[in-house]
Amino acid sequence: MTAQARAAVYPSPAGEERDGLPQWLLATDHKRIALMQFGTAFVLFLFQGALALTMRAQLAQPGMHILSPQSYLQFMTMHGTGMIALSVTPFALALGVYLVPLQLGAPRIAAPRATLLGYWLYVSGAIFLIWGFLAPDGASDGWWGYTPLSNTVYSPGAGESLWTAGVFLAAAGMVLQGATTLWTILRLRAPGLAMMRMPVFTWAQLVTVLMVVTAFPALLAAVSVVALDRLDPHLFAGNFWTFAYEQLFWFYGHPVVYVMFFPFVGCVAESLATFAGRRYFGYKGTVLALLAFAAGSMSVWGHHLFASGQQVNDYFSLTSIMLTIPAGVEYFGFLGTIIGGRLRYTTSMLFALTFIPQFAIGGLTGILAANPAIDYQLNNSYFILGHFHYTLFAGSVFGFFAGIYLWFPKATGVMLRERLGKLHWALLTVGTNTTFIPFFFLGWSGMPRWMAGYPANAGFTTLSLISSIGAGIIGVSMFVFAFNVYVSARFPVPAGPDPWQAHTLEWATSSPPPRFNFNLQYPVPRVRSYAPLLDIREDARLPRAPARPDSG
Amino acid sequence: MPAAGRWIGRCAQLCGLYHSTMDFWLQVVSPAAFSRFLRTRALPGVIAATGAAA
Repeated sequence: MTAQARAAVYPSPAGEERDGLPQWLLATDHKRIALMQFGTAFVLFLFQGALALTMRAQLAQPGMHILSPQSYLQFMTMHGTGMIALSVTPFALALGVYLVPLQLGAPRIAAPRATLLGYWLYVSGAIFLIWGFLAPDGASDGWWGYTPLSNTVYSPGAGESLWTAGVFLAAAGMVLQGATTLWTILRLRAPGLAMMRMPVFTWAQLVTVLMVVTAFPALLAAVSVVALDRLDPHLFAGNFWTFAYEQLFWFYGHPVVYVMFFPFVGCVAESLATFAGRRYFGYKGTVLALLAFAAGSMSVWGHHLFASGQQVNDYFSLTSIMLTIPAGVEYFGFLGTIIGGRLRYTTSMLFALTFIPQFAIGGLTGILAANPAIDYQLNNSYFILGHFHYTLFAGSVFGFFAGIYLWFPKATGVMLRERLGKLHWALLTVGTNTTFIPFFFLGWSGMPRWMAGYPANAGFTTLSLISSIGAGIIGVSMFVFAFNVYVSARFPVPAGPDPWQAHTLEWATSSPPPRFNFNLQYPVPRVRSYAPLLDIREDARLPRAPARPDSG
Repeated sequence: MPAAGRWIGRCAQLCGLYHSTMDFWLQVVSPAAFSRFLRTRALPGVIAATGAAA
């Protein structure tokens, strides 16, 4: 049954049209679930960002003038665990939960109740993690939770146990949402929408959820090992479980980095194609590269353990460096799309364009760290912090905002202010590079990670101060973004169905879309390629094929 | 090692609460001084005072 037929046959039940709190909290509409997840994850993103600013304030000067070592390590653990498990992964999956059914012309997500359960598992995980953070002996052993530091001998108190429960619940919720998104992509595509006609964003989401359902269960097993270890430390007295935990953890811990990356590559790709006004360049190559990238990134986890002396370094070095090939193909797609296009420099486009060089810095420093001989020197230094903050913040967060500025009008029906958006972009770009470039040089001069403070004679002071000033600029830019959302909501400028002249199916329906996404007024158009709305506009320009009134 | 002297090393794995103060010192000496140390077990320079007791 097509979407429009379904919407006509099954009109919205009366309860769904009311907008009370219960209708939101118990929503089975994928759009509402995704928006709740966005809101929750964004509040937590600001909270964890505030933790980072506090840590940067401590590190602006030598010594321990704001946080004690214990509080610093708690802040750091909550910042790392929270950003990964409570903010960026939920953002990545919420994007898919919102957009995948729309881009596929589907009326709903598969298994909407399981998707909602995923959201509530994630919320309970967030509650446990924050509870564990507020406990007097909060978790303070980093987002890795390595044993034996995470056992009851070295981490007594409830904080670490609550951390274990929180990570487990949040990851379990993400597995559910990954599975329902995968099901939607495989089974609920509109008629005519073959796999090779799916938009690049949906492909990026497909490889993401493939990794979620295969890699995240390893984390569930790993934190269960930590929980068992906390119940009885004697169980794991030998070294075996210590290393087995590291393997299990990184079998999740590396793919999750790509889970926090591919959906934002999809955002960048859609933004570039839309604002270059052209069909995405190298579609088939990009799809193949995404699949190869996902497969490859499942086989590189050992590079986190180069320095452990227990790992097959040659193999993991080879697989890690091989990832440059699909990454290069993706970059060809980005650049081929914008070269020769008539670019429109909207805020979304600026974020997408900035993603390209900034993520390249993160990727290229990753090639350095993928050489075991170099990694022995760089391992656990600020250089590694610089590397992954460039991939995750200068990369993924910029892709995230490219997507936010692109799809905010679709989800809310109102436009974001462009001038405030550009101010946000400028401040965030300056702040990001001021914060994270010094990390590389601090790493070269020997500053290790997890330093709650440093002595005045260590030579880290100047670069650390520059980095802390940058972090302040990032903080200001987030206020500009929040102000932009407030102004745009308070004084709304209606968006209309397709404010950007975009390419994919979600722009063929109203903003915000109706309960079942498409209806008689906004039917699913005919899909001939991965850019169906571009096809319609091109047909309309042909002299022999005049535009039909229904645009169908 | 670039030159003889004392070099600071810093703990690279999160080892616990006082990780940030977990430093160690490396004393770089000439080959002649090192073989003299192997013969006599007498530590040269500043760390001799604390190290010799061990």
